[in-house]
Amino acid sequence: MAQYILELKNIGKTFSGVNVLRGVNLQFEKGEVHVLLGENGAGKSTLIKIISGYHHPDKGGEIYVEGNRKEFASPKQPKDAGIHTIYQELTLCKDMTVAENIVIDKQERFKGFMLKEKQFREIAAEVLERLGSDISPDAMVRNLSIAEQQIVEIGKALSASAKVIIMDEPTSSISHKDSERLLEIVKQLRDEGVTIIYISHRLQEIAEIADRITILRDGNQIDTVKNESVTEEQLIAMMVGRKIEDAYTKAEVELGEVVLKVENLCSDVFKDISFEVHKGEIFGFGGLVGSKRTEVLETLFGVRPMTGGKIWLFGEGYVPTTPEQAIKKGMAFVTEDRKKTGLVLCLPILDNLSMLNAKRHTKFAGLLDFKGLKRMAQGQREALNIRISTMNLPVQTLSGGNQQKVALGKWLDIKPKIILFDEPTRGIDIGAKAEIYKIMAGLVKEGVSIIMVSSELAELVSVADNILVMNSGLMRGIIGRDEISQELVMSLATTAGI
Amino acid sequence: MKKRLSALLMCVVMVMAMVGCGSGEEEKKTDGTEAPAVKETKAAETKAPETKAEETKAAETKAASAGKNPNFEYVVEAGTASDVNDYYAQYDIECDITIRQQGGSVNWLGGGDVPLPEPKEKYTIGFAAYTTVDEVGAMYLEGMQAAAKEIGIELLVNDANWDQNVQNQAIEQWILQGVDGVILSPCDFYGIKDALDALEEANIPVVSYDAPPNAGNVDAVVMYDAVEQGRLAGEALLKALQDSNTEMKGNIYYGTLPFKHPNAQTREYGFFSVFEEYPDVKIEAITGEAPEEFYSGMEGKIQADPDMLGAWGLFSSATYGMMQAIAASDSGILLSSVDNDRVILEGIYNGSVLGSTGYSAIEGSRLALMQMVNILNGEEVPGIIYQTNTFVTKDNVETMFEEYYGGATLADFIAGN
Amino acid sequence: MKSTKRPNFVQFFIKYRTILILIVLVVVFTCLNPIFLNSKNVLNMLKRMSYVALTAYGITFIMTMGELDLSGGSMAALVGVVLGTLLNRKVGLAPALLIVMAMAVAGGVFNALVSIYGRINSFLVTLATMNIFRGIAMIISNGRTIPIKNSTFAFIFGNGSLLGIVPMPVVIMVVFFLISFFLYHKTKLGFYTKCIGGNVEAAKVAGVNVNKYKIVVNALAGFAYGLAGLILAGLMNGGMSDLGETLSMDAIAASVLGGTAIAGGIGSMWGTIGGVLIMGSLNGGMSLLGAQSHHQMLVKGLVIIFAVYLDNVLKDRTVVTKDH
Repeated sequence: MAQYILELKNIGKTFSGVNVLRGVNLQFEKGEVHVLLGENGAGKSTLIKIISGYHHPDKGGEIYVEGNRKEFASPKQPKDAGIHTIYQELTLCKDMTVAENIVIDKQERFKGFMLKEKQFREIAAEVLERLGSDISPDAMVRNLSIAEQQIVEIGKALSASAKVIIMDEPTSSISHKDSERLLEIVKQLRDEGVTIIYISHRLQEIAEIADRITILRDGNQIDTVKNESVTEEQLIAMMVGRKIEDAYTKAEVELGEVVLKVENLCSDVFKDISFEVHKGEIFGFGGLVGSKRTEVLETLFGVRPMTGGKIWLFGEGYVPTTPEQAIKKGMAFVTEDRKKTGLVLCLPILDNLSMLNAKRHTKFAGLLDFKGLKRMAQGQREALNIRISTMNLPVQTLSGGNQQKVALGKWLDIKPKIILFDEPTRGIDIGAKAEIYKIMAGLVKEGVSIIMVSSELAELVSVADNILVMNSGLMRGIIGRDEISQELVMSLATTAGI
Repeated sequence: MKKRLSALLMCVVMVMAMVGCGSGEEEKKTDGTEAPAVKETKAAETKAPETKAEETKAAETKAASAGKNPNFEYVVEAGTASDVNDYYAQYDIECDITIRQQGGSVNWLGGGDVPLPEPKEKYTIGFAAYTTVDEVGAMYLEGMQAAAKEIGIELLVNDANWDQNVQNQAIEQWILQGVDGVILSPCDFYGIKDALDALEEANIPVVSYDAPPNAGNVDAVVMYDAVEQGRLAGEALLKALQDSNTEMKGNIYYGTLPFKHPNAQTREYGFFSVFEEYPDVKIEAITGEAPEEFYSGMEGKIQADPDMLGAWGLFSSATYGMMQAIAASDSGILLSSVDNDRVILEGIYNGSVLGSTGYSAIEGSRLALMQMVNILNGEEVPGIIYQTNTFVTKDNVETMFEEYYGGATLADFIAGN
Repeated sequence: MKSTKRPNFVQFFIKYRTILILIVLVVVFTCLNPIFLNSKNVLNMLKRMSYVALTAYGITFIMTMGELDLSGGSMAALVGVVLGTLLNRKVGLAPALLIVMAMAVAGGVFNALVSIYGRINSFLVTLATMNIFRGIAMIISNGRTIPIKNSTFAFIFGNGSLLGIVPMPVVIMVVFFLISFFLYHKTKLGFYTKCIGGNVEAAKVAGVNVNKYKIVVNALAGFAYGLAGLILAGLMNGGMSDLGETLSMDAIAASVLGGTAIAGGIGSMWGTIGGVLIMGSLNGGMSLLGAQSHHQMLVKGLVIIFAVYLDNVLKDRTVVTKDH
């Protein structure tokens, strides 16, 4: 049997004490499409980054290319070995032409001082033709669609005679039609003998193109299976796999009256979303990353323009315009990206907690009532059990869990009636997660409603009363309390839309 | 920076003076190797010309002043090419200009406006200023515009805002536009040379006002004697010290620029010469450009040396900063000055400055225009005319204020009008 | 999905906006005063923009790489002062020129090294070196003008002219335009400069030695500032520590007018020279109309905002047309 084109032996990775990848052993054959499947945080990205030279594997991990041991110290070395990666964040120079981007990493083309523009164009035209693309080599990358840019990236790899091309969720941000075209190209490349390592959540397309599938979960390699020997249900089971942990606290609250009713809500990226949220309910939004759940929250909060549909808030008609108005109506929005939109990292906890409330704590002539603010902050700190020595520390020195508590805490002083909570436990440890759930349970007991977006199935399933599952901007269904299961959510989330 | 300096240097001073003789009355020039500072400025100090602005509006005062009776006679020696060069050479300033006009000296009776000659035809004259937006620049422009209007000259104005390239470009364009003459004050004393060369090639006469160029050729120069300005300030300080029977032993601090500038060097020279015979008097510099630098510098000196003999501001920003520092410390230190921005005159009035040497921008602009029109009329004129320096004290500050600022009163200024 | 260029009016306007603005300016000024297009006036105006042009060539490289450099004007002043001092000390013209140009290049390299190894944003580094260079110039010159009386120097960099017609600074401006154009558009250096400015991560992934290019580009820019300094000293007949105080800003403005993106990745030498010509025409034209320099500053500022705004608006529009 011929040697493997790429072989990983005992690859592990530890980031500041956290083991994110353990003992991965994988063999990639020439001319196969090998899918890496796993939930968010399963370790797929880390694995790719190790193969493409961004991360170093932990001691003991070995990489072999065509039987030869390789040490990848920089992103350039895997390329020299014929391994090219197409990241979700494309690495093209947007203000250069397609041809220029295709030749950019071919150092040998730049021998001598002058640019050989004509030659560049020829190389590009040839490779684009091979991909059956009508993109002009002279087009500026900025003017191309994402799908076209991906083709340019593939062309870039091909023209460097890539043996292995890694594609990180290439279809996550392009249309269904473009995806089909991309899959055609993937198949064509495979037939030409290129190995494709393909990362995707979309079970349908996986079924269509994969030769073999490796499932990762929590940094562990669960199994590597042949495509034809496995069903979707089996894949989902392997992906989800784990038991519901004790950490989740489900508040047992009698649901009250309907506080929010949404009918056929539309915006530029999603449409026809309808649901009802009751007083004291935790309403979950399930789906894959990129299924536009956050965008629904943004629309409710007045950040993203609503283009259609109807909303009733506490029985009254409501048209979101600005966050300011949403806050006045009793809504709060704890955003997913704490660092960007949730907190001001360089400011102390006190200032962050006071951010929303400053207006409410002014004295004569708009002067801030610092004592009042401090009292309020102190109260939040105790209520939320934020573990800090002093209120004057910049937020960035806190752990993720404590940061999240601050991000939540800044909203609580204004006594919101509906909290939009986007990925409540992203990037925080298990202990802090449990605390966040406890806080959420406490809130709903007080009659607050929470709309939660979560990509963690187990969390969603165990905390939410009802779950709306989305896929590619469309509503796939609402799962009631009694029928909730991870498998059901996952299958709804991964079934391509019509 | 030197440009900024010159701006600060020229606080508007005004002794209305009069050229007694026409330009036709030229004498044979004496090859003046002597130092050119020849004015009888003391006279001006004792009695300034009676103000004429009381009843007339500022703009209309000029004609009325012709009949004023002079209390002193001001004699202008003939200028020669070597005068300016040698004058600067004494103070280690490189200057290499040729002054084409070598007309005789004029008897210039002070006490009134500089009378302007009748132009033979309607001349177009370019007026190139380094700035027109500070106090001195504004008064030069105002004086020049009024004078040009008075005798029907078409005036083209360029404010180069301290950029010699801008000034040179404007002059080059004036040549193409066919101006008859150019009155200029350089932004940069050497950088003006190319423009002067171009003017020479085009055969267009040039009169410089304010500080003259240090390279290139001009037809005539109107300037002031900065050595004298420093000397007058020094003499006033000395006299004040003597009057209070102070022992001539200790330090005098003076505010100056952090680098060498022709006007600073010459003023220093004049001031130092007064105290040469007092070996126990040490004169020490505080350097800076903006008032706040002098404020903090002076504050430090007052703390370290509360028994200082006195202080001197070499130009307006220095005086202003030092004045504030002295007032803040309530130490009553004697402060002498050069320049007469309005705030300094106010300081003289309220006693925080004992006096300041000033000169008039309006006088300077009229002298320059007089020279230019005479040259264009085909007359021979003196190569150099020196403007009058006046030492302004509490006694004459109100009169001088009205003279300098075209009839505006100090009282109004203090009241904030 | 249709991509690439769509040659319509908007595209045409975007592409040629610099030259269009320039043509409008020239027509307006000529109508107001025909002397504007007088060949002598044109040559004189070109002479007065030559040093801005040279600085702008350097700045265009720097900005294309996504960096910023404020130190150009100070370096130009320092070059003049050091040259004057050397010539006064009886150093020959050729060695003196060699020394000051080496100094200018070293200044650029210094900027790059501090930025790379000190991990300091280039804007801040050059904000510092802007003061450092000018400070050194003031110390050396003691704030005085240092007259330069070397007639060869004056001819080459100042009042000399080719065949008695074209001023030498204009000749230098044109020659170095060609060189800059070639470097920027036709060589690996320009290519990777654009790539680094457009997407530094992509450049790294492509195996480009980013730091090396930063150093080379800064050295080049230093060379350009050095030449600008020589021309300034030539036109001013001397070295002065206060020359070129607005030079860097003018050059940045000209480059931006010409379409160079402040964030990097985009630019062209044609655009830059167009921007310089716009600035120079504004100065020369308004001066001819008797407008004072403070008015000129005002108008220049407005033109910059207008041009950049136009740039953004038009770009946005093309994006919209593409997406729908």
